[in-house]
Amino acid sequence: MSKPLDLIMLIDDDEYTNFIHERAVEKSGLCEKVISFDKAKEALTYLQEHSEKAAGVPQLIFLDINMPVMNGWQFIEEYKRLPPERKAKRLLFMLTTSLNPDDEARAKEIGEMAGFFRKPLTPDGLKGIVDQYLKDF
Amino acid sequence: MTIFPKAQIDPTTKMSSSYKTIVPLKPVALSTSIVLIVLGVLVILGWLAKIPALVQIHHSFVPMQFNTALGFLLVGAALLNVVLENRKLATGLAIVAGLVGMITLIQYIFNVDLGLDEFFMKHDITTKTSHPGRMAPNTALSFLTCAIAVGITGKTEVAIRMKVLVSAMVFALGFIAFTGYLLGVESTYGWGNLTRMALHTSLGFLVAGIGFSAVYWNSALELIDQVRRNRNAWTDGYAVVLTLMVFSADLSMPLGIATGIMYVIVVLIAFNLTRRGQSYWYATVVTAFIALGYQLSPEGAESWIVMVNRGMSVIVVWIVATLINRVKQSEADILEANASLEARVAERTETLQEMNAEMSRIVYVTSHDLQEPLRTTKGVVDIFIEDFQDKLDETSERYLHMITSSVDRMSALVSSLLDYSRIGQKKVITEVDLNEVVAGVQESLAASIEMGNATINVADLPTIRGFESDLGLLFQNLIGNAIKFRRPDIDPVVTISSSENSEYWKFEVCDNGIGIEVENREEIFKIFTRLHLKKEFEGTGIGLAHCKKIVELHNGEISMVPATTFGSIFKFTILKKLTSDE
Repeated sequence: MSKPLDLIMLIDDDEYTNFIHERAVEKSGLCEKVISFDKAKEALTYLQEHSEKAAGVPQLIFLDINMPVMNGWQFIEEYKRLPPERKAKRLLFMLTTSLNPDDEARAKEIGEMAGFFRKPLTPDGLKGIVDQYLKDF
Repeated sequence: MTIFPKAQIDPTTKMSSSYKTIVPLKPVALSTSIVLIVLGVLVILGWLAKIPALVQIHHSFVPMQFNTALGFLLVGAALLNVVLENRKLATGLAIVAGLVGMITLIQYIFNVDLGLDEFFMKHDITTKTSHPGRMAPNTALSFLTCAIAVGITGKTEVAIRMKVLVSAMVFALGFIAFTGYLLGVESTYGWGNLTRMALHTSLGFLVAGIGFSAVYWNSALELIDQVRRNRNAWTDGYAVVLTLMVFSADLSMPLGIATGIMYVIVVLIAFNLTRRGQSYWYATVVTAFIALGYQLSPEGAESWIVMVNRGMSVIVVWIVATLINRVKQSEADILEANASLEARVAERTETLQEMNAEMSRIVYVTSHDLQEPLRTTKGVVDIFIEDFQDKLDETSERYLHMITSSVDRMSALVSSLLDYSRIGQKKVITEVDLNEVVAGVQESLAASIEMGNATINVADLPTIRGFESDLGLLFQNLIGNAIKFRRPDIDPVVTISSSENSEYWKFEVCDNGIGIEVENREEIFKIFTRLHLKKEFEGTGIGLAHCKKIVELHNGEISMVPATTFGSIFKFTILKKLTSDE
């Protein structure tokens, strides 16, 4: 039986966090491949260069909020401008440490965002998301 | 939020209830206008019916000229219409009276006869009259002044000041002439060898002055909030009247009598003024009058005495004026100092509030960011244990456990710091039933209450205004502490009670635990203060700091006193009239 997801993208400026999250994804056995970026700009470039047909478009993106150069919110602004087929198919989660009420209010206004996910990402947490949002895949 | 009784905001009651005057000004104005009309009519009748008693009162007196009588009729009617608020009619009548006065003055000044004097009738009584039928120059001036008094309109401060001033001038012109009659000094009612002002004419202007003053004070007092601003106007009016009174007294007495000194009273009036430097103006005017009095008064003592007298009056006047100005200056300085002090307090308060907000933000962001590496550390340790499970011996596992538990502890500290910074942020004050709050706390502490076999006695608690979730946290911390810091082998008993005074709610949380040394009663409320080793009692040392911050948020105070036998009593107060501004 093949895994339900082909590709997950992780964006977090802390490389150790990315490492831990990568491992969690691998351990869950729910995804074929995981790519991680410590710079939001690079993640955006990746998304701009890979169309859906090229099979490099992630179905799930986990995005950190506080990052240098380009933070999570700025990433979303750019992400909105991508052509639809280049957006993940197509769920974007914001990764948080603890939920700031201001962030929550801000996030509600963004249609592209599926929700918040509290760090750390664990195999069980990922399974929850897949069960809840990605039954159709 | 206060809801005013309806009657207080009803606009119809506002006007009539907002000012109270001792003198019923409007009736006074009304009756003076009637008096003037009657005076005018009587004298006109006197001329027409040839009744000398009406025209000149005494056969040696100057008659009130026909034009003068007509003038009083016009001025009286104008005043009546001012009171009745027929502005246009009043102005029209006043213009006619003013024209009569002005033309008469022109005739005097340019020594011409424009035919006004006997325009209406031939005058058969010419006692002390330079030109038959021509009113006295001071009478003509008074009519012109009356016309100006009616002609000034508007409710601005300048307009009101002018009205009051001109009204006072009318009064003063009448008063000067009248005192002349009283004291038998002709120079006050007769200028040069020109026509004299009649006795009843001088009385007429006295009455007119009162009438105009009454009607304008009345109109000014209706705008009660302007009265303070118009204080300068009243003061000027008083000063003018007083100056002219003193002047007339001065003229009526021979030189050498120190009447000049009375002008000091005029300068003293400047004390009532709000503006600085004004007393010098008064002094200047008064000095001019003192000099004028020297020129015009009847001859008296030797000239050196007169000079000394006048000179001393002037010196005293200026000394008083200077003193008044000094006082006014220091008053103004104090006001200014107060204003700048208030501005500085406001500025500092704003800075403090900004700093406070900045501090909260820093704490929030810092504690938020501090969590990140902690979580990573823990994650990596977990992965390490997973990957190297087989290769780890007991010692290395113990070391790893030490890392994990330290990280957990740090994590707990950081999140409690985060909670601390969030107290009272973006929350609203509501009515909080503390019985419900404490019941809720007992529920969430159920496990530890049961495990510790604790008893919680709660008296009936009030419903207060406050921040609900923070009040919950307050009781949770206090009850939690009371159970946590128990004496070994003694079941915890916690008693919660309340009382009140007019300003504050008072609460007591009493336990039978290990107690706290009196010398630590301040320390315990400081953030991250711990009195025990971690292995004795768990905790971050932030609980009571939390309590203190919450109580202070409710404008109250918290303190600890040792219980008489053992354990401690935590007392705190909460302000009854809590507002969200604080």
